[in-house]
Amino acid sequence: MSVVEEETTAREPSDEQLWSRARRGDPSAFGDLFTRHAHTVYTFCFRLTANWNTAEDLTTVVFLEAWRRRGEPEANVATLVPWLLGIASQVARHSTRAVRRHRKLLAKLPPAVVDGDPTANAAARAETEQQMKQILRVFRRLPQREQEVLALCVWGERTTAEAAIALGIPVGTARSRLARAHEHLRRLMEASTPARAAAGAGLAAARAREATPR
Amino acid sequence: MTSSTILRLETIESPPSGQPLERGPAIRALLESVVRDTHHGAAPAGDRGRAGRPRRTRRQVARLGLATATASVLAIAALAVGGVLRPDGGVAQAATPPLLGHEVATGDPAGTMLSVLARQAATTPTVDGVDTTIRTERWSLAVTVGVLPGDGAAPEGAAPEGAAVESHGEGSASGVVGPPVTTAVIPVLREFTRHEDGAVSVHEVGGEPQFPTDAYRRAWDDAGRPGPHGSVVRSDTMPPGSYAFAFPADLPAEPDRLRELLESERPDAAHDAGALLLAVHELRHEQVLSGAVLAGVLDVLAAEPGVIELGRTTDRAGRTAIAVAADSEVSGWPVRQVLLLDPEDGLILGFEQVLTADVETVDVAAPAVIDYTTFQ
Repeated sequence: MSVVEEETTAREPSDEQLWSRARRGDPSAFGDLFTRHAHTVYTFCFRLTANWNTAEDLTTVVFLEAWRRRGEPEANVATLVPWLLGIASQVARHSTRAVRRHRKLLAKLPPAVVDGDPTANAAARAETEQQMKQILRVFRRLPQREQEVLALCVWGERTTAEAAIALGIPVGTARSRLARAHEHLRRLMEASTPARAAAGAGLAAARAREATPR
Repeated sequence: MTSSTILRLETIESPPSGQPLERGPAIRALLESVVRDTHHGAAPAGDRGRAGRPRRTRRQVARLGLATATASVLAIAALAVGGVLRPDGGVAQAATPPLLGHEVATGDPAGTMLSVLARQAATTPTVDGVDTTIRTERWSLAVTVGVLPGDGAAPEGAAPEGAAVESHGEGSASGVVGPPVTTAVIPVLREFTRHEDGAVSVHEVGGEPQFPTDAYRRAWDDAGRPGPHGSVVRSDTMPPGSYAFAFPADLPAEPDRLRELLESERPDAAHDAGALLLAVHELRHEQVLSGAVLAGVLDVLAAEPGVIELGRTTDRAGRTAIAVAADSEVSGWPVRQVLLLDPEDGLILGFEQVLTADVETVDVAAPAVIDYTTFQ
């Protein structure tokens, strides 16, 4: 998988410490949490939207929503990243509404500045967006609930336990939805032998992660 | 299923991954400012029950009720009906072009910067004795049917949607092209030529539809993609003397005299910096300014304390621009007028009007661009 969270070291404060400091009103602690997890959230949002610009806006919205919901019971530190990805699932599903809620804050952001060769960068972005759109074309044929679990477990690298926390559902339910998602996906891809082989590889990887507690 | 699709499915386990966020530091600064501004010692318990129910919903319902009650008076053309009532909630408000980034930011007085630009502009050579063509891309938000621009209900210049409207210069107040459009921003590409013999030609073509989000694009597709994209909206040639210009051809370069001319066209410019920017936009709309006149115009703006500098941005044509702005309510709406200038020579690249607060008569979520012109 390509979603990689930055490693924390013994010298760095944990998510728990940063989140605790942020909730006590420390802006830099919240900023550090953003820096630490923005890439994970951004990648996840991109995979749900197939659009880098939208993903960047939604990443901002996810953290704004996290701050707004900081009083919720689910906002506990042991599950911060799954919780963030759960918020990402929600805001991606209702992106227009989510962006509208925070539009005044988003409008304060400066225009994006593309580093390096703008043409090459734009081409790379367009290519990956096209790839992702093709994947989503198949992915979105799954039932919504199965999409959520599959996205968190496969694209977000979460265990079913973490996905359950993110979605606010029992672990058993998450597990059964994931199994159904695997089955549905397999059926969708049965029309093509090469595609079926690819699906088999992907599902095997997801199951392997399933067996590895975090 | 195509072969290319099959190939892409091989990446379903590991789809494309994230590039660095382009505005990571700015987003972090924004988040930190939110923490700084909103932390009051405790988590917002009151937010818990509202996590999925934004306050906006109630306002939208209120607006829908208002629209229904006043339907016989206000046909909110192309706005609420097609948007608010969508069952999927995907398009809840009128489509407007994206903000350029920091059009609603605060800024310092622009006087010093504009004076420097004026000196640079003064060195621009003047071309005489040939036809001059002004090419623009323009879009304006629809307002209401039966309400004339400038009567206090809408900013002057705002006009029926789709933006397939041109209300400057020749006094054309109509010009809606095709059916009312609910979900797309459709600019008009215009060529306005002043011929050497005094004749004027106007040629307008429907531009490429733009969509704030994919939801708007889907709604547009669902509606059968109406609109004038690519079609000729207008093509006229008027003989010498028949076109009513707002400003004389032999403009003075002295700032004081220029200001008098601008105020004669826009009396509010005498006391409202936003109206002054609007007058400059109208001047640019009908004339290619010589370097000396442009320098004079920039000096006029430099002397206006209400004009602030918003910094550099990228305009809708992809050019680097310096934005100056002024807030104004003389139109009846809270609007920020934004003028985009070339940072090298002060050329006027564009003009935008941004609604800075929600208003009852139109279902647009402020801040939102309600009018823009890009000079090409």
